[in-house]
Amino acid sequence: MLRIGHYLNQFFAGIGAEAHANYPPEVREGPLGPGRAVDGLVKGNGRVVSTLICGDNFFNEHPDDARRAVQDWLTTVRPDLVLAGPAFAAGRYGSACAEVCRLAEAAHIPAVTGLHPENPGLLVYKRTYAVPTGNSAAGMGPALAAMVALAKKRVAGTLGPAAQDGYLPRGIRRPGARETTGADRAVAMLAAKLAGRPFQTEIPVDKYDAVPPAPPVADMRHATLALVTTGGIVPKGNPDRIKRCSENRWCEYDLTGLDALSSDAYECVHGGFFNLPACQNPHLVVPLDAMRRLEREGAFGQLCNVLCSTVGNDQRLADCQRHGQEIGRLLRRREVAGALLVAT
Amino acid sequence: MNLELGTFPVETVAFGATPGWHQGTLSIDPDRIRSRVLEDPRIRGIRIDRVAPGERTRIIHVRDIIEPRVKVSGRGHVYPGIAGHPPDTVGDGVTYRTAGFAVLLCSEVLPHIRRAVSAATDSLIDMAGPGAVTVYSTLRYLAVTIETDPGLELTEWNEALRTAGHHVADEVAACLRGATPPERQAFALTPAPALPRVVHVHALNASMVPGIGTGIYGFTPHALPMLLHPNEILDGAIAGDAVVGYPGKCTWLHVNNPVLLSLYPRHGQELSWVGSIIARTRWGSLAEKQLSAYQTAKLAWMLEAQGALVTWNHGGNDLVEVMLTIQELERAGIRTVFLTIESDIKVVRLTPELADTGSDEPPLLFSVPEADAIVSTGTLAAARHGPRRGRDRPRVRPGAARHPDAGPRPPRPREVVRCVFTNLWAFRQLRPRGPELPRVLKGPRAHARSLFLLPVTPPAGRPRRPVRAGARPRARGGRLQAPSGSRGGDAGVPRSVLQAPPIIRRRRRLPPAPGSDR
Amino acid sequence: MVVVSALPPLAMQAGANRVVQGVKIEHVCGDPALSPSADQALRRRLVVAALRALETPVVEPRLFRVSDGGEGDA
Repeated sequence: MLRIGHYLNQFFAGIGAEAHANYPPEVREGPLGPGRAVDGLVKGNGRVVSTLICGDNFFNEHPDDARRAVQDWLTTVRPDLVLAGPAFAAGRYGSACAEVCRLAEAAHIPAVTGLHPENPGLLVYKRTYAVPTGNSAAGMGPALAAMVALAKKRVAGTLGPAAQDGYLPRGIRRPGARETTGADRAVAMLAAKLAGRPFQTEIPVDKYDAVPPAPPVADMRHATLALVTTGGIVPKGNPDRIKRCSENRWCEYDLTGLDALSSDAYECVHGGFFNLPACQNPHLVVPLDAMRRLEREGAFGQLCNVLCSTVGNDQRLADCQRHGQEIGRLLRRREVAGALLVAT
Repeated sequence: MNLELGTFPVETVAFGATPGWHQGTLSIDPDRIRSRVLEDPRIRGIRIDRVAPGERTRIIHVRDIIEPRVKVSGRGHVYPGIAGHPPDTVGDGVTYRTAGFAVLLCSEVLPHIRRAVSAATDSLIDMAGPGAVTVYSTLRYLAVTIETDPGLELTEWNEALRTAGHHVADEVAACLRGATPPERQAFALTPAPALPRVVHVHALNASMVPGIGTGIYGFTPHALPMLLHPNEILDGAIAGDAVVGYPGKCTWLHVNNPVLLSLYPRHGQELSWVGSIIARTRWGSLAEKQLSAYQTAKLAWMLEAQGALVTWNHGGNDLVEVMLTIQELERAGIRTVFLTIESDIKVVRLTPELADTGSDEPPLLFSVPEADAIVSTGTLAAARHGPRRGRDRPRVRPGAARHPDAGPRPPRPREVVRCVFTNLWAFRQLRPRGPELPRVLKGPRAHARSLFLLPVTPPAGRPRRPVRAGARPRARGGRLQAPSGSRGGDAGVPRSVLQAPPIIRRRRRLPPAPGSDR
Repeated sequence: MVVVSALPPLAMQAGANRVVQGVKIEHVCGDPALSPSADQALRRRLVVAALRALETPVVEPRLFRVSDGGEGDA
């Protein structure tokens, strides 16, 4: 018997509309509102045992409290499955549903929601299992049916790719076999493209997330600047054994008292390009000599005496992001106002 | 240019005094090969092995794979411009080749070369088991392991090995001359004016290290794009070398390029193939990359191409010029399709976990909006979600020389283009969770040794499993010893063909319980 | 933060908002083909461009070029 936990906002729980958007998290036993329809859909195989209600404003304005409430709910109720919403096109509700799904997945509980394909909630947690819905609650019936169908497949372990099983793409690619080789498919795709026939690209071009720019350095004359590199400049002998390729760590090296990086004391261990020039003159990657000269001339306050170095050759995006966060934290602790990242 | 390819399929390889091909059996005289190779004073020793698909064999130190071909009539020599072959333009006449068989060149990278050139990685091929993920596990090989003079510099070492490999291939192919090939196929680009004109843009890495890398008629440095007739490629105009050869740039792959074999049958039917533009990649500056892209598009435009099939052989910054090329082609009104592997090629987690998590790394590191028609050959991960449950070790009848499943594998449509890397980094993913294997990072063989070939050191307190004598190779004194029975003469040459290697274990979800091993 | 890269399109596509054009992948911050003093002068101009970028407000990825030389480019 599948025990289902359902997350609803204040409106769908029947508490009130916008005026009650600050409703604090509350747990009620059994299904509420659309949850009753869910009960009907899973009749015999499961039931909605608990509903968590939270106002959309509360969830977005008190995220820590909301998160804690969700986690407590999950721990106490221990559902086998979590359904959130559906939120249709509502942005705050969609974000909350996505977050609830993320917390459930982190607790190893499968979670499904229903969102309009342009709901910004999808950006909160890209890997949400969400069925596409229309943009209003008029589509509640079909949305719930689709959510339950998706949830059943997840629980049974028979879930296939997004295009096949009708849920929103999660940005995950899995290996699979196709009928014909890539070369044959490529020639066929070219023939189709030339003839004006429709074709389906196998890799939809993904965009990187935009990064909000940092404000400019206000007072350069007194600012501390730092040097960071993915070019693999390390002390000679590579004491930390930074790999030439596929490295998942970064290291910090002391620059105190150093005016230059000599080729006797430093080397380049990046495996993705011809690194002999950089070994012979590490300044070609880390411009310490120029930085020190400008520091002495007062072009900026001082140079942070730490060089953060890694090899960017074939690094996984997840590792790169983590490195950025970790190095950022270090530089913030050192009160660094601006950094030069030299990428090779 | 009219090329007729005569194909001799090879089902068995035999050693004998009379080299020749007869009804699927290729006879090779190992002594003749040995003496031909040892003519070069730079080569100290050679070991010769036969390897068949499906065998419990792992081959390490792979440097290149060369398909034996011989020009029976027509101008020039196959694999022109290297290993002493003349640089005459090829692609015309009659060429004979073997199918399902290749010469596998193995040699351990010298320590100073490994330090200097990161491209000289150590790669391996497993002929059976969960590591047999590429097309190279389906070929029959004459594995030639070479030990060179240890003092050779990079270019000399590369040249010595490549020449040796090609001399062996030439020796083997020479015996095909007198025979009649059971299969024949003609390749010609007869004019087809009514059909849409299509160009194949073949982007190939050029090495940033001078003197090594993939060569066109032996020419390796960066150069502006040039035009080749596909028959030239079929005759070996593009060849790898011993540094970057295996796994993604080996000579075998160039003459067996599935794109050529896909385009040719459609020429004259759906499209008119006008040629292959070879664009070099890994230029160091953006301006150079742009120049290569602009000139490639201009060449295609001058050929009046309406469509382009763009392929490349992977890399990091190489993708920038490939994408710029696609952009320029599309801007010139040439419709483009891009055939590529995905960037996260090291997703080789052959476990059920892959079914849950998949990979969310970006499939391509860089892209342009014009790249709207892409065909993916995936990553290194196999299509099925994990190895067989239960024992990975196939049952062997006592006394049997090979296990019952050994023998020629039925051909399966294997994705050739995707097998870019099978180096040790990829196989790291397959290691069991738990205590790290002891890493002895002295010497180039240590890498292979540490990852796979030493017995696993159990954590303190857990009794070590006894190893049956002869069942596995054990590391002794820095040299690996395989059970006797492996052919080869020169006892001093370190082995690269290892029988019954330790099983690559699949990663498990939970750490192993104390006392249990699998 | 400012990224110094030989491939600004790649850096900008990945989200870097301030990018300075480097020389070449193998030697982003200089040119070993130049004499040591010319190489150092080039490196100085590059770092000066990077400092200028750090002081410039931007709203989206922007490329900052290294000036061609002459004293007084601070």
